[in-house]
Amino acid sequence: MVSLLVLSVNFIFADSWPEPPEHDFYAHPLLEISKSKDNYAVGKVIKVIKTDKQSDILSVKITFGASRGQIAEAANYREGFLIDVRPGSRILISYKDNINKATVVDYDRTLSLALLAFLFLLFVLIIGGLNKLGGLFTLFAGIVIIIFVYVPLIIHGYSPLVISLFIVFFITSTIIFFIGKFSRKSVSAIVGTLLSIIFVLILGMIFYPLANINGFSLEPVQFLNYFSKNYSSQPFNNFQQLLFSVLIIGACGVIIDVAVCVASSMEQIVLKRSGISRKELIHYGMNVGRDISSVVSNTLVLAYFGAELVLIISLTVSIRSLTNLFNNEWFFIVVFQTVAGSIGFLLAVPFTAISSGYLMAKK
Amino acid sequence: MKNFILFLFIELLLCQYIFADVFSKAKVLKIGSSEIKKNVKIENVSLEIISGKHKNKIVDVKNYLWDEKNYNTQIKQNSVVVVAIAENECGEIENVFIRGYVRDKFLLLTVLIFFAVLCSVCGWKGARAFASIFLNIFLLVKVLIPLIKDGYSPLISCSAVALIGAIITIFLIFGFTKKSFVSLCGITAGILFAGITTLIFLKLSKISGIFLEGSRMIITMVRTSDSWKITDFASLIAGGTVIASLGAVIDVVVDVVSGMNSVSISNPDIKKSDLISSGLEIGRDVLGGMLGSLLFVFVSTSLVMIVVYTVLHVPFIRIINWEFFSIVVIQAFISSLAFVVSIPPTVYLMGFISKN
Repeated sequence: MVSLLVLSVNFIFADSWPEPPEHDFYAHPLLEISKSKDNYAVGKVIKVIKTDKQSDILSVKITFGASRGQIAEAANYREGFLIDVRPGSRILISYKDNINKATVVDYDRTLSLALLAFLFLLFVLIIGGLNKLGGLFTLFAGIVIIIFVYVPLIIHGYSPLVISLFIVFFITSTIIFFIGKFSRKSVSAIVGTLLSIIFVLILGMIFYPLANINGFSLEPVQFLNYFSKNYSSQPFNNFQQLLFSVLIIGACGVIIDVAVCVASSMEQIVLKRSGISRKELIHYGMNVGRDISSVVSNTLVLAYFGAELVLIISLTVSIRSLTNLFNNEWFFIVVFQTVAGSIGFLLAVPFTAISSGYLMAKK
Repeated sequence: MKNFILFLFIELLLCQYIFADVFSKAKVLKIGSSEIKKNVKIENVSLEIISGKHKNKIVDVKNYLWDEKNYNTQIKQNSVVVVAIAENECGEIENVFIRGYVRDKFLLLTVLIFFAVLCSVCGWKGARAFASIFLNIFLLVKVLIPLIKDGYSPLISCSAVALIGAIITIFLIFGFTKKSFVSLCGITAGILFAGITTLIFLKLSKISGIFLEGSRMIITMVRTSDSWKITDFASLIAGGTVIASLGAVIDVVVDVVSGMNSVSISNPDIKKSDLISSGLEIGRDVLGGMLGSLLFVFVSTSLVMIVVYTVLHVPFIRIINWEFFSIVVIQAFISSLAFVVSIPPTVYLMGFISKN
């Protein structure tokens, strides 16, 4: 049994599997949750009622959930992930039918995350000025749309590629309109951004099939395949398209940044010299873009490296030779996301410069 | 907990498997007979190894084709695959597994396309940018990862490496001037803010960091091998935030400094307070477009996991309290905050230095 498991896990970062991949080897907390329909509530610990061998029984005042304000009993089991509970600490509990037979599952982190969100808002508004409120709002609306519209739609079988293209188009347009109001500058920045995103997408659509990328070296993709087959009515199939949408969503932020910078500095020039010719204007825009994009070029590399630091360090264990590394699927995906995103914002410079030239200059 | 221990046990064994393997490319000479078992078709394939120390040897392997076709390597006559060769003590081939497709030439091609686009858009500045990217990657892979493995505090080593990377990038852009000095001060402020605030918020939300994808493997390595000494996962996550925010911080600081510099050149008699207020104005403009750039990177890295949660109908209140999700939120917000916070110190310092 164990040797079976070993072989399966051994090949997590390979394309070929010597043992059936359907094998139920995921010892992941997600599995326990998916098997039982639990209710959740957030509460504050009042006191420890009694202690026995396996667990502490706590008295908890529910602060969020179905029966708010009620005082319930919850057991904090000693096996498993230890949760350090003191009177006054905020915890997450789960229960089936009877809230008095609840179990402590995790700390409650909503308060500190809310504090962080508030700090973020505060700093951006103080340093960036009150007019950033609209931009922030559209940004969060965009993320909310991705999580609560895009994700349910693709689970119900719509094509991830088409939906993500629509949503990225929508998000970029609203964000740019909120930054620059409805003006020629905004329109040309949007044209530049969208053309670059389409280019990144085309690049992905050429290279992913060529290199046989379907994402199955990534643990989340394996989870998705496994759970959608076994715990959901509709199995998920479009893994390559899902990776395309990951690609363009990750790149769109930086592309917006460069396109907006180029378009607004070109608008400044038009305001100063109204008779500037189209050719001169485009030339100026390219010059500005050159400065911007040579600085921005590090951003994506560092952002992806930092975001995946723990994973990268852990993978130095299993990937020890260059042949293995350069042919590894996970490595290809990470490098491709960085490089294609960077190509995207570099191309945003000429695209935006040309579209601004045609929209802003008379001839 | 039982599951957790089981997993550690599995990975202990797994390490031994991994270290024994040699990776090479191999060409398919002939696909022979195949047998079909319950849910698998096993092809008997004869391969010629075309790279590495076992070059030119011919081996017979089995290629497993599962019903679940995503886990297979489809091969044809003359196609090239990557194989893992298990050796015995004498260095002879004991067993060969097909590991997957060959991807290195496509990877190289993407990087070449990037280089071509960089040079055609940015001209000779493109070569400079490429040099700075290359140096940064070298620093991260060859300096940062060994430092962290050797047990130096991850946050401190990440900040130090980030600073060295920033110094290189800034000198490539500005040369040895007072602009570089101001930029580096601003970048330091941003980096320190990112690292310290992440640590504070990880402590506040009681995040241990051991549930991240990858942490399990690191814990196993620390227990089995003397050369791995990573213990502080909170500090490792804070270090990740520092690295993730570095690029955007450099970006904003350079924009502000060069903007203020051109203001004071075109208008030499400008008062200090006017210069500072125009610097803050430039910072505001830059922020507008930047705010989303890192947030979307973090959304995209966690997107597949969000899909998994939604498939399983996990209630939102459970997801938001999950360590993994909280870490992504904390990293995304704080790395975006870092470049916001780096603006005021840069502007004031630039104001003081160029007017005194």
